[in-house]
Amino acid sequence: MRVSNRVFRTLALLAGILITVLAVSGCPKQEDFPTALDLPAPPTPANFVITQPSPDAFDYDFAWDISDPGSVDRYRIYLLGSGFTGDELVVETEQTSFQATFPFSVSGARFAVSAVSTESVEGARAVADAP
Amino acid sequence: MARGKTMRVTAALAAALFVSSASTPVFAEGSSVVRSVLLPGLGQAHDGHYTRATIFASAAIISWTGLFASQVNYSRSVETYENEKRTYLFYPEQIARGQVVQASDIADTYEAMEAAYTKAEDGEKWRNFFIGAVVVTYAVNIVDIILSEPDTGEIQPEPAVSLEWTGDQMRLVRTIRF
Repeated sequence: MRVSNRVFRTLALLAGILITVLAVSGCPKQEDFPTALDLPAPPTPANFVITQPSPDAFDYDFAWDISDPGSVDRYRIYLLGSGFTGDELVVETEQTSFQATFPFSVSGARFAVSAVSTESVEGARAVADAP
Repeated sequence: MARGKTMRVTAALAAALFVSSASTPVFAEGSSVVRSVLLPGLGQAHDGHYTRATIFASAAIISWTGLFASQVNYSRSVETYENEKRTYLFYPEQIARGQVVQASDIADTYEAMEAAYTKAEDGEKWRNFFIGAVVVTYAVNIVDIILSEPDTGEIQPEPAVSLEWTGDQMRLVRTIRF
């Protein structure tokens, strides 16, 4: 069967366009950008201080303030590592102060405290050095 | 799954087009068109229009190279965006499982996702630009090959009959060459 030249040219053109459209439509596309999660960060503790009541014992007092206590579920105190060792969670407490007794001197060690919101989102840390 | 099916359909169509064009009498009838469909400029070169052939072939090569490169770049951006988005949307599930999520991690992931989305959008624009370039190149090329006549290399003979003015008289001259 002979197809006329004009018909063939039209078919060739349509086939080329169809192939291009199919090839492009088969590629992955970025889907719609999601809405931001409603997970607000809790406030950062302020005035974080570490005191040592008695220089002869390894007892340390940790205290801090918080601007919006109602949004905070608990606090986390970390002993910060020095590059080689990672940060270590010391304790979780619901109070804005904490007393700890260490089996060794932590003088000069760096600690951090952060707030965890009622939605289980942990906020930024406040850092202080042990005396 | 859908992408694989589309690729198979595309490959089948391309193969069908090639086989049908090469094995039917149409091939002989429209050989320049077939060549130009396969690669712009090929039909023009076949017809002896070498300048136009060079222009169309160069445009096609640049367009296809740009399309390929922009498509690769775009696909990578989409993949990065999808990974960041998956991580971001997983945070609520982590919280539901009783894990504590760092607010800084949420913010960092959101920024990374936003940056990847912007990059993907830019990549899509460039990809679409080169798709347009390919389509325009092919369309102009095919219209050109359809409208143009083959260059046979023959020199148009001078008309055998001419008019000459001599003063206020006009003379009809018929030239005969031996």
